[in-house]
Amino acid sequence: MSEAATETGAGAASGKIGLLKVLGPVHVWALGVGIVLVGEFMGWNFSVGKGGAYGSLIACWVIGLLYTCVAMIDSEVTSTVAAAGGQYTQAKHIIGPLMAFNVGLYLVMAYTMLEAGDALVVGDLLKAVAAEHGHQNLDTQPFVVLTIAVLAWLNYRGVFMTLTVNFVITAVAFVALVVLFFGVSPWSPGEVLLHGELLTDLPYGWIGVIAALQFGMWYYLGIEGTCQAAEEVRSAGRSIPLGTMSGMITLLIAASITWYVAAGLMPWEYLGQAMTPMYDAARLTGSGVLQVLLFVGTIFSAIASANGCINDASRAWFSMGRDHYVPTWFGAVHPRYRTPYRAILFLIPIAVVFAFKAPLDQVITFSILSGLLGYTFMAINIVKFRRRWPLGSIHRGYVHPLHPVPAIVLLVLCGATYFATYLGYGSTLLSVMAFYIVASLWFVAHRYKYVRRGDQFTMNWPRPRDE
Amino acid sequence: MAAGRSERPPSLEARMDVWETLTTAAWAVAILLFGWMLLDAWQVGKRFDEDFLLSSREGED
Repeated sequence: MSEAATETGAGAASGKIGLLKVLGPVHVWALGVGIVLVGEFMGWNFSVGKGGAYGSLIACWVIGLLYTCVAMIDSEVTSTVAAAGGQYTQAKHIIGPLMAFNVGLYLVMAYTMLEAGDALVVGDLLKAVAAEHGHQNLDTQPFVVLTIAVLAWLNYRGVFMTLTVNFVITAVAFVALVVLFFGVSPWSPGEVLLHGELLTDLPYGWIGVIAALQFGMWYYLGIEGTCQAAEEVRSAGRSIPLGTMSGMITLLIAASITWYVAAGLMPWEYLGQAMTPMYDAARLTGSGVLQVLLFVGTIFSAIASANGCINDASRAWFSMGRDHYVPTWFGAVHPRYRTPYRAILFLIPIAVVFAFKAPLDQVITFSILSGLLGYTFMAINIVKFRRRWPLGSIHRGYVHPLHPVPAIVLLVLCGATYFATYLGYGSTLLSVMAFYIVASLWFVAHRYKYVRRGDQFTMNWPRPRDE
Repeated sequence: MAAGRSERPPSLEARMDVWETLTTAAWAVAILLFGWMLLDAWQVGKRFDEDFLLSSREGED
């Protein structure tokens, strides 16, 4: 143990080691917005293909409401349950082991699949650059693997540098969107932006608007990942609500800018199937500077998203290992870098397999559905949380207003989005449900016996009202 | 003569070589990073007690 003490300093003095508490609200913002912002550069526009430009705008606002409820609920619970694992830890404390196992698995699958999708985007962007320079059919595999390797290495070496880098590249990507907005002279309608000519009625009626909800999630998918940082922030009660809510405001601004610029430059028939709509928008302005800036923004947003996903998936897997939900071997902390290094390492080959062996649209849909299952859980969770530990019974860093309205709104909007997903990806929806049912059966049959229910309840709370 | 050559755009073959070099370099760096992480993890496992590495507890600083 003397070697441990030498290498890890104060942390090892007690013979124990844990994750480092070094993060502030800026890092929490960088984690949440970093994961999401790639959805503003690509993906959201498929909602235009389903519901037209106005349908996409309605989806943007309706799903914005869904995520505002998520952010409020998450901020309250996480400001109280300040531990790695985020919603998994919340489920463990408030509902029970089977729900906790499922929520943990949703998180790991959602983030690892999103990471694979982001790395594929980086590869595809480089392939497009190579093609423009005369090199056709660039093999993207080494660049996808390199993206995952560099980001995993960064995560392995320490959370402070990882999320500081994420802050810088996410800020550059966000500024790129703002510069594009001012570059198209929004104060002079008809000069560059042609909303008057391009905006049409709803092409597929209101059913198209419902179908657009699934892709409307791209505007915000992943903001709930902020709470994975709860064990590594200096003050969870302050940093998590501040970082999450400011992140949500950033995303609402970014989503509105994105829609306004793209819908004023491209007809909905084109916009609805474009792979890189914001880069295309920059090209249409004819400005070389904007073109370069939006290319950089697109690639930075994909890298920031993959980086945040590695951070979040590894924290969820680490927490599950620490509580015996998966082998405890994964619950190890690196003595020097103070990161969940085995969880980070374990998830690398899984991300690579997702990137190379599964179709991108299926991977992303699986990721979105896993996220959606997590949001459904949050609505149930907050109702139970407030019932078992009413206001005043425990200290809360943040109390969200109008309870239970956000929970009810969240549940209704989740139901509408399941229906939207069923319209477009019915078989994937059923496959995802089947996967989690089989995983639950495995947990009950093989892992539940290892779970120590008494030990895993770590919060210093009074006995719940209903026990 | 040399100055005249430098003004010509690089040939298609030269540009293809750059991307092929980048492809090889990407594989090499990725393998190097994975190798470094695996080696480091193995060394940590050898140098430290497993109980110490697994001593993190939720809710404790």
